[in-house]
Amino acid sequence: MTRLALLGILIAAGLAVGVYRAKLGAQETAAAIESLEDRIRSVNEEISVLRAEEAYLSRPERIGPLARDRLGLAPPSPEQFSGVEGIVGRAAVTEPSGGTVAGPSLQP
Amino acid sequence: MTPMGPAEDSVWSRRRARVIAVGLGLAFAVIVGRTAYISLAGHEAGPARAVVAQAQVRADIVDRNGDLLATSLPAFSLAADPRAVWDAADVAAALGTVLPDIDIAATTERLADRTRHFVWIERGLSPRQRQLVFGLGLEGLFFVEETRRVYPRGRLLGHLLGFTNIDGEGVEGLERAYDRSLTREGAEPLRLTIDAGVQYALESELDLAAEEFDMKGAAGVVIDSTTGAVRAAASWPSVDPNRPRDSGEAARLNRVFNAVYELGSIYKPLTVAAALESGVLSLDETFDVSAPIRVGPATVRDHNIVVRDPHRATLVDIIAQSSNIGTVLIAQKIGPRRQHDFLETIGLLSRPEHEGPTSAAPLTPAEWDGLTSATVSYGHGVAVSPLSFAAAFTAFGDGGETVAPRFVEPVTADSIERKRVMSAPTAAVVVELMRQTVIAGTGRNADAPGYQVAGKTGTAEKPGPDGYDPDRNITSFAAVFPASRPQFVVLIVLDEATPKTGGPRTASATAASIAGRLIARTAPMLNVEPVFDAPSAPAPEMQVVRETRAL
Repeated sequence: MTRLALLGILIAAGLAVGVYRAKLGAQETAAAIESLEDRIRSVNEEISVLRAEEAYLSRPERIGPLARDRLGLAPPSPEQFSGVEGIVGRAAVTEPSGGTVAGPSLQP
Repeated sequence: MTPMGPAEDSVWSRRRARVIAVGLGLAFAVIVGRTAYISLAGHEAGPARAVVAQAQVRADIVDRNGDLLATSLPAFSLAADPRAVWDAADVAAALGTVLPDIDIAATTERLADRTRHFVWIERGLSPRQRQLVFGLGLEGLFFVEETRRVYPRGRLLGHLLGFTNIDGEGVEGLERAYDRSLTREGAEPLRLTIDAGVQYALESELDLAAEEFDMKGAAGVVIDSTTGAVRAAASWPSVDPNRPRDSGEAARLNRVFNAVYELGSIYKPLTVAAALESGVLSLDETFDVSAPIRVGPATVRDHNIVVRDPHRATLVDIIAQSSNIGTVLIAQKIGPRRQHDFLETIGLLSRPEHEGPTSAAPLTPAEWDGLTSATVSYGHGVAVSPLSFAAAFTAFGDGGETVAPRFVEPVTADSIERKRVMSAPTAAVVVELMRQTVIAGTGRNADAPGYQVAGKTGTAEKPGPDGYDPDRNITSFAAVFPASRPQFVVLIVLDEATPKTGGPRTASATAASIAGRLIARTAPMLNVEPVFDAPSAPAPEMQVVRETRAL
C-alpha cells in the first residue's frame, strides 16, 4: 500500500513537472512569437519610412532637373515615335540560311 | 508563583515547536501552492501603467502606377497625468524650451487640472523632439505611440487627396470620401486613376501660367474620355496636405470641384451639337454675322473675327472664329426648350454624380427664355464646375456618349457609366469643327504637333454687381485629342489671367497655350501615338470683321 502511494506520488510529481515544462515552453514560445511580431512590425515601419523617403526623393521636380542636367535626358518629341510599320521598315530580314534578302535593314 | 518543573517545561516546548512547525508548514504550503498556480495557470494581469493609444490603421493611397501618394508613419504624441505633476508651470516652461510651438499658458492650465488623469500636450512629435523631451526628465509625462499621415510628394495632388485631422480621420478630399474603405481592417492601398506624371505636368503648367500671367486662380483636368478615368485634376494655388492650415482660404478652395464658372465660348460646340441633334442645322448652312443682333433688351456682338464672307459664315467660321452672333442664330433655331433639355441631358444643369469628393452644383437661370438661351449658347448665364464641364465634354471624345469621371481603379468595362447624349456622327462633326479651330482659328496656340488637338477657346466676362465686367475674365480651353481617334479630354480654366507682358486677356493668348503645352508634355505618358496630318491647302483669302466683343 505504501509503495503504491509512493508510486502515485511519483507519477503525480512527474506529471506536474511535465505540465510545468510544457507550460514554460509555451510561454517561451509565446514570448518568441511576440518578439518576432515586434520585429515584423518594426521592419514594416522601416519599410513604410523607406517607401515614403523613396517617394519624396523621386518627386518629378527633383528628378527632372537631375535627369536633364546630369544625364542629358529630355521628354520625347513626337518625331521620335514610330509605329510598327516604321520598325519593320528598318528591320533586317534575314533568311534562315544566313543570306540577306532585299528588304529593310536593322542598321541605323 | 510556582515555578514550572522540567517535565512541564518540556511539554510546553514541544507544543510551541508544533505550533511554529504548523505555521511554517502552512506558510510554505501557501507559497508552494501559489507558485504552482502561477507556473501552471499563468500570471494574472495587473492594472496597466502605460497608456497605449489604439493607433488607427489607414491604408496607403497610390497612383495608377503604384507610386506612393499618401502613407501612415509611426509617430509619438506627448501626454501627461496631471495628478503626477508637482509643478505645472515649471513643467510647461521646460517643455516650451524644446517644443516652441506649444502654448505654455494653456499647457500650464491643462497640467494643473488635477481632476483629470490624462491630457494631451503635443501630438505627432518627431523622433528628435521625443528625445529632447526625454532628456528633460520631467515627471508625469509619457508618450503615446500613434500614426501620422504623410504625403511624401508634398503639394502634388494636394487638393484631390485632401487630408486627415490629428486623430487620423479623413476630413477633406479623397481622404474623406474614402475614409471608411481606407480604415477597414486589412484594407489594400487605394489605387487612384490619377497618373502622378501627368498630374505633375498639369500642376507645373499651371505654375508656369502663374509666372506668365497675373491671375487669381486656375484649374485643370485631364480625363480619359473612353473610360472616365481622371488622369489629372489640379487647382491653383496648390495646397500642401502635410500642412493644410498653412495655406490661405483661397488656396484651399478646390477649383476643379467646388468652384463654378461661366466658361464662355467653350459652350459653342455644345450649341452646335444640340442643333445638329435636333435636326435644325445642316452642315452646309450659312449665317449672316456681319452685324450685331438684338435679342430682347440685349445686343449680341462679335469682336475681331475673321471670316471669308461675314454674310455667309459657315459652321467652321462660327466655331473656329468664335462668333457669338452665329452661335445665337443657331440657338434660336434650336429654341430654348430643346437647348435646355440638351444641356440637362449632358449633365450641365444638375450637380454631377460621380464617385469621390462631391462637386458643386451649377448655378442656372431661373427662367429659360429667348435671352437666356442666347447667352447660354455662348457660355454666359450658366456656371458649372470645371470637372462637370470636362465630364460633359467626354461626349466628343467617346462617340457621343458621356462617361462619368472615375478616381479609383479598377475601371472595368462593366463599371463605366456611359450615357448617350448625341449621335456618333454629330460628335465627329463637332470634333472636326474644333480641330479647324486649332488649325486656323482662335485655338492655334493650343496646337501640339502630332497630337491633333481639337478644342475651343472660351473668354467669359465675370459677373459683378453692375453686370458683366469686361476687365475681369474667365479664360478657358476645352479640348479632345487626338482628333482622329479621341482618347482624352483636357480642360484648362484661368481666373482673371492677365499677361504680364501686356498682351490680350483672351483664352487664345492664355488658356490655349497652356493646354497645348500640357498635351505635348503628357501625350507620351498617356501612350497616345503621334499622327501627323497631311499638309493642308493654303487658306483662302479672309477678310476681317471688326465687332466689339468676341468670346
